Amino acid sequence: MTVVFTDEQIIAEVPGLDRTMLMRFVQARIVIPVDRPAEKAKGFLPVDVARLRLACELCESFEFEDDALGVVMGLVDRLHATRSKLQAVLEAVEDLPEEQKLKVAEAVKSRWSQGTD
Amino acid sequence: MNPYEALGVKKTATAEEIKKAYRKIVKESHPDLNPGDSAGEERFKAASSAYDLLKDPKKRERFDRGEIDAQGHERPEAHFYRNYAGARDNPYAGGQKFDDYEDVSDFFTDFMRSAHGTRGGAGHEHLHGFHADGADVRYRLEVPFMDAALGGTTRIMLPDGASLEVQIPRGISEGQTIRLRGKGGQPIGKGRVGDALITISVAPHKLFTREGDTVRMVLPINIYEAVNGAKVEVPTISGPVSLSIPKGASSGQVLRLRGRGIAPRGREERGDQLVELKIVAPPRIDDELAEFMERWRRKHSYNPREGMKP
Repeated sequence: MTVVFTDEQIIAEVPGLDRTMLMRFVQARIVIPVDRPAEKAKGFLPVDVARLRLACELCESFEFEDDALGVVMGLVDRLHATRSKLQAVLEAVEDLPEEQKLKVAEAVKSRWSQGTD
Repeated sequence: MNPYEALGVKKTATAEEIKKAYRKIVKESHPDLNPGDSAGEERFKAASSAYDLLKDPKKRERFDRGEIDAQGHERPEAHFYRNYAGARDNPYAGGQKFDDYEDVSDFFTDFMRSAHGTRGGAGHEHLHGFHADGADVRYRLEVPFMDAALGGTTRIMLPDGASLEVQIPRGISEGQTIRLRGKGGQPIGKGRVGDALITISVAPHKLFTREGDTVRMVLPINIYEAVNGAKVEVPTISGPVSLSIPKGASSGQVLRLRGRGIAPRGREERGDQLVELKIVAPPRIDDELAEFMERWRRKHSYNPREGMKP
């Protein structure tokens, strides 16, 4: 079902990641290892590979310290969560009958031009 | 593409200038920070493979001497975080997940609240002084397939070394979140203690896989069961049941065991179990079988690949 990475495997998988950085990111809760009580171990999933890659890129590019990185990653998460919710709403609107779709479009347009509040 | 052009620097640029140029492109074009900007994404990809090359003085020298080309550093698409970030089961997505909502209208309420910038739980204006609720703390937990299907309990280790008992509700699936009220961060003043939010991943099972509330498995049968049909015992998540293999079964044929799948949260009726048949040849082909088959073939030859054209 899912690939699980150990510390060593994820360090090998993410360019620029070393053990010290991984420990730092875990400490700062940039990534949260998956507790695996059945294996008496912790592990990482593919989403963590991608997330650590982004964290490493941001650290290398901007020399972020952990708090700043945490703030940025949190904003990135919220941006994507909001986008995917918006996407779901848009798809739901797309499925409405043409007449209702137009109504929604009009309502959005008039609110948008009045400013959002 | 020429890495110097990709970064918009001169061939004589210093390491510092290269870094600065790269940083500027990350800021403007990183696809995880600027989702939906495809031109920006191309700029970023070109810039980051260029930077991978030029930041390393040895590689840069070798490139300048023409010993290596600019290729081979582009990263595969799947590694961008944004491919996971918007997914429903992203454990890092802020706020609640849709499947945690009891009522569909809450989806909009929560969306509106975040759109208006006020967060639930803060305030307590009727109390004097400053009070704020404790933060929610996120954990991730892998649970055995059977516990996810049938429910169970387990413990997770907290960062401070203490452990916390977690009740796993029956039918929970990958990416869903369990909320343990009052097990999160400490509040300020008379606020409420935060919650522990535990995102679940489900460990694979050696027999079963799962699609929603349907359980799938592959059932090996032998040749004579396939030819003559049989009643065989099949494991399900709630113990073995008897299944009739029809006469003349083939590998890949799927039989349905109604109501032997998973009951999703909040529902009593269970999904189905799908059983895919797989005919297994005898471990040893003896002369008797080989002769019998040859005799049979002479009179009853058939071609299952008829009409098979690419």
